[in-house]
Amino acid sequence: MHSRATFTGRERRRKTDPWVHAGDVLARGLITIGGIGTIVAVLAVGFFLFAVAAPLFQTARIRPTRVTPLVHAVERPACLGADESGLVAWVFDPTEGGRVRILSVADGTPLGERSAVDCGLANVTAIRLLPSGLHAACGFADGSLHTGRLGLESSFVSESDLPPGLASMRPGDVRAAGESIFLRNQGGQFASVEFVAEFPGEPSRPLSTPIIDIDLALLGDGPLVAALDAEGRVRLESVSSRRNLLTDEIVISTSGATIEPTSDFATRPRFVRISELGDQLFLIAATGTASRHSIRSVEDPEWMESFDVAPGTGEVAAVERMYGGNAFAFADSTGTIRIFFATRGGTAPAADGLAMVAAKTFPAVGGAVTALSASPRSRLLAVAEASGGVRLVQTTTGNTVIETDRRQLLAGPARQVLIAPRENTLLAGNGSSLAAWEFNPGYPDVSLRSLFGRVWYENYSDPVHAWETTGHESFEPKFGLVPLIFGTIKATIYSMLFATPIALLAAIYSSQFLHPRWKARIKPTIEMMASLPSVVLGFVAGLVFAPIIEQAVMQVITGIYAVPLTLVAAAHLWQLLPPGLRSRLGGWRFAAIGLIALPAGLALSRLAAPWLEQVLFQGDIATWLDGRGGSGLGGWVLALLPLAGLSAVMIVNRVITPWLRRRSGGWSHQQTTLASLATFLVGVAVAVALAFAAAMFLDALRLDTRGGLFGTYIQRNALIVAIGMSFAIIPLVFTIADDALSSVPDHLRSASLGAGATPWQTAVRVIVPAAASGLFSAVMIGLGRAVGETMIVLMAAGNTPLMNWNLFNGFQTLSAAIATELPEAARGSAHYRVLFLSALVLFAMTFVVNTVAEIVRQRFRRRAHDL
Amino acid sequence: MAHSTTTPQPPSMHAAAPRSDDSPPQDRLLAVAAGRDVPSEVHEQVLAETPVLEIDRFNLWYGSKQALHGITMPIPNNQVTALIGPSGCGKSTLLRSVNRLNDLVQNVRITGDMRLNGDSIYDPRMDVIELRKRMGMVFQKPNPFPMSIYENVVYALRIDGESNRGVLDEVCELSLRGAALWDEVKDRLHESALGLSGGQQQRLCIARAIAAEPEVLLLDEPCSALDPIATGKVEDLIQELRGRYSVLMVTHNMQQASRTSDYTAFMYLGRLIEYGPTTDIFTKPMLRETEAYVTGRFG
Repeated sequence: MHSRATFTGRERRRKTDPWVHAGDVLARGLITIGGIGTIVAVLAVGFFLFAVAAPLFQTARIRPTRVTPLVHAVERPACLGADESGLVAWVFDPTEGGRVRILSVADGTPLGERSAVDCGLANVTAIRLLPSGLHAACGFADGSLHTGRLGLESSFVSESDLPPGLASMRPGDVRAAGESIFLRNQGGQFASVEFVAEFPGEPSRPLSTPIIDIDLALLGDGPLVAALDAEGRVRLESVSSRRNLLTDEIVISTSGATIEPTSDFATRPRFVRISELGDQLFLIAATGTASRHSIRSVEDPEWMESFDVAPGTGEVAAVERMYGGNAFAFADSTGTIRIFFATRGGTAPAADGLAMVAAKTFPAVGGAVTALSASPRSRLLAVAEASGGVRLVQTTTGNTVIETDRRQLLAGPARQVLIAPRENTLLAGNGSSLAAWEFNPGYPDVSLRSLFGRVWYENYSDPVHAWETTGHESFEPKFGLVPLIFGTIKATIYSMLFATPIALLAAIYSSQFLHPRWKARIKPTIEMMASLPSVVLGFVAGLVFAPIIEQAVMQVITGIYAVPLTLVAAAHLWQLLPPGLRSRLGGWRFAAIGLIALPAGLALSRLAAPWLEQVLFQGDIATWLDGRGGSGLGGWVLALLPLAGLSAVMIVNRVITPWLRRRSGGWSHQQTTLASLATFLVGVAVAVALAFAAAMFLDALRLDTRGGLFGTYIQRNALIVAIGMSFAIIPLVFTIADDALSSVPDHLRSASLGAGATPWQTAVRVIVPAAASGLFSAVMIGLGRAVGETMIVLMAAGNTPLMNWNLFNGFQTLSAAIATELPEAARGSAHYRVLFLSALVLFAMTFVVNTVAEIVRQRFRRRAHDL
Repeated sequence: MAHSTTTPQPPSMHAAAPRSDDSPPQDRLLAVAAGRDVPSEVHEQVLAETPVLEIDRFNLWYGSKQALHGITMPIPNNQVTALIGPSGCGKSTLLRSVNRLNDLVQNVRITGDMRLNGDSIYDPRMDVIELRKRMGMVFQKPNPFPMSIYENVVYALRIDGESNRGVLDEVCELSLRGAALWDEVKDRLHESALGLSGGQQQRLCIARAIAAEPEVLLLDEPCSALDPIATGKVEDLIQELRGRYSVLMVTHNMQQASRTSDYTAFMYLGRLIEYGPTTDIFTKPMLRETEAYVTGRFG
C-alpha cells in the first residue's frame, strides 16, 4: 500500500459502511410501505363503505319450495295464515262445515286439523286477520260479528324443555309432537306453535243478511270493526273494554252506527275498509266507485268524498290496507294496481281538508289481479294474477321486487296470497293447492331512484325529496339522500361565503402589510384557533351564539356590511393624518384597526340597526322574515348590496377615477386623500342607490327573497353554522394562504414596488396572481373541511333535513346524519346500509373536491413554476 | 459639491499616474478593512457633468452594522454609470437606496441624503410611491410578472389607472422596440411572459422599466443570470440607451463595465474608492488599488 498525501493526516474510508447501506434499504422499504399503505388504507375505506352499502342494490331472491295439494274447491271465504317463522301455515277450508288445516310449509306435511265449530268459525262468511297479536274479526252468514284471536301463536322453548328426540332438529325443521307443533327456525331457536282460536263472549248481530266483507282496526281501548252485508248496509262497531279500578271487573261496552247504502253507488258496495287509526271508512263498489267517510265519531259517520279507484273499464278485484294503515291498494280486473292515500290540500279537498289521490299506479303484467296481500312489516304488496303469477311490489318506491316464474305454478290463479311475518316466505293458494316460495326481498324500500329522485310518500301532496328514518313502528321510511347532500352543499357554500373572504383578506394583510412584530404574535394565535375541537365550536355556536344572534339578527346583518365599510373609511382617515404623525404611528396601525376601527364599526352597526330595521323591515325583522307584512324591498336590498358594491367599484374605477386622474396633477397628498375619501363615500352612495333601485324594480315585479334566500328565522340556522364553521375554516385557509403569499419571491414584490406600485396594487396585481395556486389550495382545503365537518353542523344546524336556501333556516348534512343516526340504526338494516351509502357519497364528494382542487392547483403551479 | 469624505485627509491627486511601487498597492484597502476612513478619488470629468442624481454623504446601517460609509457621488445625466467592486461592497445596497427599496428591510437606518433632479429622496414629505414612479429598476434575476408580455410592459401605466387601449398599445410597442424585443415577441404579446427565455425576460424587464419614462434607470447586475449570448444582447441594449437615459448599473463583470459604461465607480467595503470616466478607471486609474482590482489581481 502506498500512502497518499493527506491534508488532515487521516485516511478516509472509501467503502460505505454496510450499516449505512442497510439503513438506506430499510428507509426505502419503510417509505414504500408507508406510501402504499396509505393508498391501500384510503381504498380500503372506500371499499368497506361500498361493501356495506352494496347489498342495497342486490336484486331480491326467490326460490319455490313446494306446491301442496289441497282438497277444497270453494274459493271463498278461505283464509290463509302462517306462523312467525313462516315454517307453519294454516288454511281455512270452508267445505263440509269448515276445517282449519295446519301444515308444514316446507314439505306440506299435515300437522293438525281443527273443525270450524271448535274454532267458532261455523258459517263464517268473512274473515279479517291482523297479523300483530293474531287479532281477527269474523262475519257470519246470519249477519253477526265476532272479534277475537285467530292464528298460529308461537312461543320460544329452551332446548331442555323439548320433547325427547326433537333436539336433533335442524333449522327449518318442523315436527308435530302430540297436540303441539315444534320447530327450529332459521336462526336455530326452538319454538312451539299452537293454533289459537279464541272468540270471547257472544257474537253481536247487528245485521240480518250475510256479511260479505269485514275490516278491523285496533284502537287504544279495543277493536273497531266495520262489516258490510249483502244488502250494502255497513255496520260500524267499536268494542271498548275498561277495567273497573275498584272491582277489577272488565266492563265491555259497545257503540256503533249503521250506514245505509247511499245513492252514490250504482251497485252495492263490495268491500269495506277502515284506516288503521280508525278515523276513515271506505266503501268500494265492484265498479270502482268508492266513498270515504270520516268516523272520528263512531256513532256519527260522515260522508266526505267519492272517488273512483278503477277508472276505465275494470272491476275492482281486490282491496288491501297497506302496512301503516294509511295507504290502500286497489287492484282491478285489468290487472292495474293503484295506491291511494289521503293528502292534505289538493285541488278539491273534502270537508275535512283531505283528498284521496292515486299516488302510484302499477300497470298490469299478468292479467287480472286475483288477490292482494300486504306485508305485515313493510310496504311490500303481494299480487296474484290471473295468469298464475305472483309478484311482490314495493309501494313506496313503486318497484316490482320479485316476479315468480309463471310456468311452475298452482293449477289456476291464486285466490289467496300471504307474505309471512318475517318476509321470508310467500304463500299462494287456491281451492286446489298451496304453493310456497322462500324469498329474500333484499332492501326493496331503497333504489337508486328513491335515493336520488323524488318519491311520493304516503300522505304527501306531491313527490318530494325527503330524509326521515325514524318514527313510529309502521311509519314509512324516507331514504332520500338529496336533502342531506343539499344540506352539505348549503353548509359548505354559506360557510365558505362567510369564511373565505375574511381568511384571504387576513392572509393578504398579514403577509403584505402587517408589521412583522405583530405578525409574529397574531399568526400563531390564529393558528391556535384551528386546534379548537369542533365539538366546542359547535357547542359555542349552537348554544351560545345562536340565542344571542336570535335576539340581534338585525345588528348582525348590519355588522356584516358596516364593519368592512368602517375599516375602509378608517384607512382613508388614517391617510389624512399629518405625514410625520403617520410614520411615527406606523407600527400601531394594526392596533388602531383592532382598538378603534373595529369597535367603531360594531358601534355603528348597533346604532344603525334599529333605523335600518325600521326602513327596510317595518320595524321588526322577525315578523318580516315570517312573511307577515312588509314588501320584498328590504330583503332585496340586503341580498343585492354585495353585487351593488361590486358594480359601484367598477363604476368608480371607470368613471370617477380617470376623471380625478386628469384633474389631480399637482395635488398634494392631503388633497389626493380627501379626493379618494370622497370617491369612497360616493361609491358607497352609488352602491346603496343601485341596491335600492334594483330592489324596487324586483319588488315591483312581485318577486320576494322570502321563500328563497330568506325566510322564517329558526334559532339554529345556516348563518350560525357559517359563523361557527368560520372558526374552523379561517385558521386553516389563513395559514396556508399566508404561507403561499409570503413565499412569493421577493424580487417580484421589489419589481412591482420599484415600478411605483403601492403595496396594495402590488398585492392585488402581482402577489395574489403569483400565489394563485397556493391560495386556491388554501380555499380547497377549507372547502374539504367544510364538506366533511360534522360536530359544528350537528350542533348548530338544527338537523332538519330541509331543502331551501333560507339563510335563517336549518338543514342536515350527510356527516351529521351519519353521526346521529348510525349508532341507532340496526346493524344490517336498510337504514344502516343507507347511512353507509351516504358515507360513500360524502367520501366521493370530498374525493371529487380534492381531485379537482389538485388538478387545478397543478395547472396553476405549472404556470407559476418559472417565477 | 463635496467630492471627498469629511474626514481630514490629504487632498486627492487628480488625473495622476499610478503611484510608485514603494507604497504597497493595497494600503487604502487595508485601511478600509481596518475600519479607517479613506478619501474617495473622484475624477474631475465626473464633476463637470450635469448630475441627474446626487448622492450626498450617504451612510446606511443594517441594524448595528454599517453597510455604506459616507458615499458622495453625482450621477451624470444621460450617461451610463457602472458601480463595480467585490462582493459585499455595498453596490446593490446603494442602488436600492436610490429608489428606497431598502425601506422594506427591517432595522435599516440612514443618514445623509440623495437628490433626484434636486428633489430630496429622503425627505419625510417625499411620497415614496411618487419617487419610485420617477425611476425604473431592473434586477439581477429576470423577474417578469406572472402575466402576459403586454401586461408586463404596460404595468406602470396600469397602476397609474391608464386604460386607453391606444395609449397602452403604443407604449407597449415603443418600449419593446426600445428594449430590442419587439421583433421577437410581437406575435405573442398576450402569451405569458414566463414562456420567454432568460435573456428575453431580462429585456422585457428593461422594456417594463423604460415604459414608465423614468428619470433614472437602475440596473442591478442585469446580466449576471444570463448566458453570454443573452448578455451580449442586453449589453447592446444598454449601449443603445446611453444618451437617452441616465443609467446607474451595478455589475460584477469588469468587461461589461468597460464595454458599456461612460463612468465607473469602484467601491470597496461600503466605501467609494475611485470614481471617474470608464476609460480612465480601466487604463490609468489614480489608485493602484483600483488598478489591482480592474486587472483582476484581487477581488
